[in-house]
Amino acid sequence: MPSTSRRASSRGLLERLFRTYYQSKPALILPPDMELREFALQPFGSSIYIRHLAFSSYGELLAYITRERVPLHLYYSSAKYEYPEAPNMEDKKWLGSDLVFDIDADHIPGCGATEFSFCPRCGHRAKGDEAGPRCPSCGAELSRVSLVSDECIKSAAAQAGRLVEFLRRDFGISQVSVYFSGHRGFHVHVPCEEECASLNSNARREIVDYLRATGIDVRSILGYWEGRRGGRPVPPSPRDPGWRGWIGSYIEGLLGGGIPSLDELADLAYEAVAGLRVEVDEKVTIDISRLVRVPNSINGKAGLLVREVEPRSLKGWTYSLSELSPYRGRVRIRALTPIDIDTGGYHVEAERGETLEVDAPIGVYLACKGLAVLTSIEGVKLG
Amino acid sequence: MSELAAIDYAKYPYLADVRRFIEEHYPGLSFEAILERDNRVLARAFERIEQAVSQGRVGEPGTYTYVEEVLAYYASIILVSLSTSRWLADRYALAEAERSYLHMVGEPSETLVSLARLLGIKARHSTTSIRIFKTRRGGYIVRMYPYAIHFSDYLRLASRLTGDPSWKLVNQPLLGGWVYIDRKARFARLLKEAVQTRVREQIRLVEEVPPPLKPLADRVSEILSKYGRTPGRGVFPEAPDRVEPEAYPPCVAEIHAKALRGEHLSHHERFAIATFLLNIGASVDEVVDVFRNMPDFKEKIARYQVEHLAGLRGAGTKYRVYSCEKMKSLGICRADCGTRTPLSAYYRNLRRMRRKTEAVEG
Ligand SMILES: [Zn+2]
Repeated sequence: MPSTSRRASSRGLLERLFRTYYQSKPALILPPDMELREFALQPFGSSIYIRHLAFSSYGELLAYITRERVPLHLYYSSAKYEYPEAPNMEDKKWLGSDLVFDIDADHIPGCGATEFSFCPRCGHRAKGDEAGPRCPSCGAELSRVSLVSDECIKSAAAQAGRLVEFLRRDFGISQVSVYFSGHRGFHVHVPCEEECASLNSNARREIVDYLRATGIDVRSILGYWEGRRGGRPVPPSPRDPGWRGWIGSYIEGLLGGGIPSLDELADLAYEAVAGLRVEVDEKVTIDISRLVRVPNSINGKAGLLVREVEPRSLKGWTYSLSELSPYRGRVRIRALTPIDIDTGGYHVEAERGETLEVDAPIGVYLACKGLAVLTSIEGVKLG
Repeated sequence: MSELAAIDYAKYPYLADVRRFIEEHYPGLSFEAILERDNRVLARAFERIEQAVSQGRVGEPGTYTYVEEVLAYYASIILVSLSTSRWLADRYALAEAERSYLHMVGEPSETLVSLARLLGIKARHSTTSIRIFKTRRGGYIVRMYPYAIHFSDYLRLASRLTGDPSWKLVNQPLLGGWVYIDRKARFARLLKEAVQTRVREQIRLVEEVPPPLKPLADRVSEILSKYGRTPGRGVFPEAPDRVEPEAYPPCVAEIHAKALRGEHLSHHERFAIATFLLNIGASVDEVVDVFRNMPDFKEKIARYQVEHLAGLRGAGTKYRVYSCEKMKSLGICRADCGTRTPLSAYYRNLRRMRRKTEAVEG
């Protein structure tokens, strides 16, 4: 029992930190038509989402999340509704949805998350999915942890950069906002006023397939049918429309002096497609009533801000906890399991049960990840 | 709109503004008066419907004049809507689109672009081309793209075609928001989809039925029977655009209210409400939502069960709605529907409600 009550009070400290952030009146970025959006949040201490909220101003929203329920996760709908507060979809009356994309580091090829679970009571530790919901030695509920490497988060940033390029060059969409998700991915929002707002799920799936090159017919794109009577293919140019242009930009400079055969060209084109496709999460984009994280809110999975990123700076983007955290100063934490972590500019090693003082960004990160609990937050400042 | 090429309304009658058309060709006369004066219009209207049913394509007007053809089109969609047969409405819309397609592939490209715009599609003429192959003789094979269509319209129109990889967006030359189209037949194929939607929509929106047409619904039924389509069976009443809870018969309304309050429902009650909702055109999502407040609600299981009832799983049987008598014998209903099934009660209530709103607005 003492251990659970200590955890409860630690959860209280985390909640206090989140509340303090929202009480500082942070610049949450809200859509201009916020009164048409459903808001939703997962409060501290509950696995149940509070949904169907509607607010007509920043002040109303802020009052709710600082006084009523402090959000561990805060969202608004990509959809616009006549009655966003109605409890079921039918009554909400859908008016259209923005186009949203999600690139998560653990969906990038070669970037699976490292997952393990441990018992906060006795310390038992198990890899990946090996464990059930409860500890095999003492029966306590297991904590699950999922980590990806910094390199993979950086790859996600690069993919987001490419997504912006695809949207601009191919789809003619230049009004996009890119956000670090506050955990390990990137969200790209396209505000839709007319044409794209009314696209249904199937149409959105076609956009996803385009970006992921699902169902691409490389040989037709290269002129397989036109070339049936012999001759040599004209290599694609970067100026060509569609995937042909992307293939063209990839092979530019790779071709030697001679004109390649169709088969040689096809080999290069497959390589180009594999290297340039964008790993967007299909289920996010095709969902026309998706909840998206409020920019500049805190993502409770890592304690980091959902932060806008200039598309131009995505390529050399660095994953730095101190820049992405709303907190500075120092916190004291107690490790719930052995920790040996190197992430976002911090390195922390600790034995199970060890108490240590660390910078607030990594301390809050470890607490959100469930690897440690906060024991003191007196040294924390905002900003 | 001045750059639009002239459109032959006899080929594309759904594009004509029927009021202005009548004013122009029969100044001072109402549609009703024209129908009474010229029985050729009605004759052609029935001919069009019969061709749609028997051949799946509306035929050419033959000896009928341009003006008669356009008016016959309008008479025919009114008759189709009078039949209240969803099957006929779909069939007729497709038959009109089939005919348009045959005309469109013979039109000059400027006319096709004009047709697209009149159908509300963001389309334009294009001069884009790419060299794709160098022949043995040293010449080039060039891919020409005379048409461009905005990707959002492309996705809307190609939605039923993308099972074929050649229609998937990923295989289209897309640049700056425009999908470039090479062959006329492909552009016309997209327009055909738009025509089908337009005609179906015009049938749905028929409001005023000129009195001379009202007694003719039976003749439409005769056409349906002649080709083995019994209007009474296999032909459903026009589905409303959305489910209207106000029109639920009392038993169904009671079960629905219980579900929303999160009270426990018996197996029979669940079956009754789910099959009822599916039959009046609710989506699987909407039906699953009804059960969301149930104490034992599990999304996956509920969805599986509803999809099963909708005939999307298992043997593909779409389950019939309990009759009112059956519901009474199961003890899940005390009130009287006044009809055999709750479905007919629903449609009856819906018609009454509509009449009421019309009265208020008029
Ligand atoms: Zn244990």
